[in-house]
Amino acid sequence: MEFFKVANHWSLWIAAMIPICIILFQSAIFTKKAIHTGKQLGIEHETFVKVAKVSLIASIGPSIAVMAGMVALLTSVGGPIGWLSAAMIGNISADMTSATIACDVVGCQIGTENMTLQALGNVAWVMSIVAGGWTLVATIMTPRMEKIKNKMVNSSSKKDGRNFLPIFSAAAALGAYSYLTSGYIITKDNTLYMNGKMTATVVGFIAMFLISSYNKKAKKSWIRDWGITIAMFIGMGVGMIV
Amino acid sequence: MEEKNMNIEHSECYEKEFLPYIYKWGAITNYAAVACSFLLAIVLWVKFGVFPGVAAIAAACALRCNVVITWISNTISYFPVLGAPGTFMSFVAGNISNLRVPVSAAAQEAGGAEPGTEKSAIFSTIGIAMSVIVNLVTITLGAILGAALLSQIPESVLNAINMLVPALFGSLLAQFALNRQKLACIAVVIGYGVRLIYNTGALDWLPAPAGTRPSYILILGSILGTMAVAKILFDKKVKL
Repeated sequence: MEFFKVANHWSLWIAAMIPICIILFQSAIFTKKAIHTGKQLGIEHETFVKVAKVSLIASIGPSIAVMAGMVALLTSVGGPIGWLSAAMIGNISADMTSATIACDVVGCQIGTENMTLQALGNVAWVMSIVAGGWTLVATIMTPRMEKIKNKMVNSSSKKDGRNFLPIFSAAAALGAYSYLTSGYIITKDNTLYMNGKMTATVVGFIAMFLISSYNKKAKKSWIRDWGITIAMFIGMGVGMIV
Repeated sequence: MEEKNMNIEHSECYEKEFLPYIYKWGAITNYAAVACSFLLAIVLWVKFGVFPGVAAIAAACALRCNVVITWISNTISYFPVLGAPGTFMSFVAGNISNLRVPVSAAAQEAGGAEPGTEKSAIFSTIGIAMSVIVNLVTITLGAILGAALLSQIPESVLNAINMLVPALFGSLLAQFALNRQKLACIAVVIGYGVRLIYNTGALDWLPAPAGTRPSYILILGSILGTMAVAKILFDKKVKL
């Protein structure tokens, strides 16, 4: 049977839809429980609405980037696998690496005409195994990490009542973005990248810094809601020109 | 930012009801989703007779064995930002650094709770759930439009979209840096420093599967390093 007739068969779409429905179900029940608990913690209705609105807006830009990244998988291994990859654990580049290797070992090259159904099968198995590991490990480790976090934070607060928790979280976030931005700034040879992505990173930083500094005084809610998205598109725009 | 003399929250509703619910249903849904992610491969096998053979699967997985460490390092690294419910959700829905972490951060900021608190975990949960919906709608549209239509998009537009993620990371660094400038400088020195040292090969003695380099140290070093220095300075009563 012709490669893309199989790769895009309706039965594979159904198969991909099932884990995606489970993810949607999880989001729904977690949200319901979060709102219920949040009300008991004293969070007001307006705050829930604001958080939902800001999250929706903040999701748009990155989701477009995910969709654009999905194109490479759609064109090489069909809709269902591409869709599942973008919807489920494993970012596109990690899944693309798994898919490429899965094709290589059976003598095919992803993205070319040298693709067989055997390669398609291997892509499906390998992507699920590799991606599944992330989910399983995180699921097992999370309750334990919560305990460790509480121990660390409580031991600090018992000394003199100061709270390490906000610093713990801020340090983690700053460490994460320091790592993530450094990949676009420093090359493997320890030189500076001179390309659009480096420019986009730096300009995104400067734009957000200026916007947030301004909004500290101006205190406009639309700037707070749209600030990141605006800074992101400014960074992207300048990165394209350079 | 003034250091408040805060009581650590240990609300009954959060600790005794919310977290156990999240752990139980998070585990059930995550394990179910992973199991069902194999349905595609199984349908290919059962309906179309396509099975690559255990040898091919094993060979490809062996070449990907360097991800085993990232399963652990990513979980440790992103858990402090995402919170417990956020980690369950993000590690099944994926796109963690480029979508879930930014949206979780935006949601917590919008809610106005101190990071790491129970309220911020609630906001993170709602934020990530919103991102799951938005992302699913977007990519489903993309998948339906199909490869044929999407591949008509000019190269320049796709290149432009590739700039979104680096710009996003730069913006988020700025957002967090503005409120904690001293800590931000520490994070940048450590994060960029680890990368500069890694690139020289000086850290290649660290354990890694054969033929690969210990790239996990980049994220672990940056995040755990910043947290460790922050803890030391906090204990010395340095204002961060």
